[in-house]
Amino acid sequence: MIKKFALTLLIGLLVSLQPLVSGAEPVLVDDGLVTPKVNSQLLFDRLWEEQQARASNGLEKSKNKKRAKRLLCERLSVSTTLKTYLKEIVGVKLKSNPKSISVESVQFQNVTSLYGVCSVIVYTPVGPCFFDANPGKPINIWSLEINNREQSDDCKNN
Amino acid sequence: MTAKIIKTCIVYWCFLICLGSPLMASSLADKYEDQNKRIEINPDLQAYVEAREAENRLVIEKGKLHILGVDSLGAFRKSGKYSAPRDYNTDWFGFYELENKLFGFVQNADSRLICDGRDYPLRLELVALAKRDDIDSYTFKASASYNKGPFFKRGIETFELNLKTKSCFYEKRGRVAKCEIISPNDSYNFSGMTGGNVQQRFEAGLRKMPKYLERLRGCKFRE
Repeated sequence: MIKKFALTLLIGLLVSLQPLVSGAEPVLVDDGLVTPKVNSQLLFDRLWEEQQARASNGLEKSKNKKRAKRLLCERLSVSTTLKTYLKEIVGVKLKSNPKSISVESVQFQNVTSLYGVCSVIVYTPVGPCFFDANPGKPINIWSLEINNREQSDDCKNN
Repeated sequence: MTAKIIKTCIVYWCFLICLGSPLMASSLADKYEDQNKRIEINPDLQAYVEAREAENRLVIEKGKLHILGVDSLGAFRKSGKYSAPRDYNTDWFGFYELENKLFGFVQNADSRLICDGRDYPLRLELVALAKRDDIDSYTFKASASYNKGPFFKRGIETFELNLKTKSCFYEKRGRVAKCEIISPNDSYNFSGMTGGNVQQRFEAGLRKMPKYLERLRGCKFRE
């Protein structure tokens, strides 16, 4: 009788220890949250739609960014600071120019954006001068770089 | 006389310490209660987060974890029944298969939330990767570089895999290369370089949910 009881006890102990020994089953710690009844098909479709919408929204944002850059360039064209510096730059050049043309006659237009750089074409009485300026940066003498030196030099030498 | 004064001072000092500690503790407790009273978690936000976490739970609990590795020298090494990335340079990530669909998890700030003066809290975000096609293949885009798992990373490389035959290919800059997959039976014995069983790391993400909700105090939906 005692032997039978001991054997039963031993089997019971082994059975209860078995999960601890194998440990292969995924066990989530019980944190009081119940696994919900979510349809995986519906879940996939919802996520997929959201992702597509987000992707197209990202594309739209990127287009808007380009548009914003163009607008910024347009704003750049009416900046009085830019006008002043353009006058100063051209003015300096004109001072060294034997033909010496009045700085006040400088006009500028055709501000376009290509790859995020604003190209400013300044129409001076001596001919067009080309400048590139980075949009979004404060306009000062250092940010207004003369990238197309050849044309600028032409402009200076005219 | 001096001894008497010192004795009195010690007694007063002990008295002040005994009196001061509970006072300070109670003032901090009050402060804690006050600060948590002031900012409540937006109920809509809480419902939204709980719904997302419930979906995460479904995929992690019911789905089968697979590990995908990318390394021209072989992605994984095996020691007995345990597997790991070949070395620290090996790129890999885990993803789940659930009813012929693949899901990944990105660790992401939720762009729909705004939290006053704070960064958006990080959470596990579920990503729908692919549906199985007629020839048992899955195709999706992911990043094949700078990913040391276990999370999925969005990218532009195209992956094409068959979970039955374990074939795995990906295209990067016009060149096609092989990748490797560890099947669900092996995944429990797969540990990343930083240690820890990968499945357990995903499960740990679920257990962080109450803490995550705590961090959403003062947050709201972006309009």
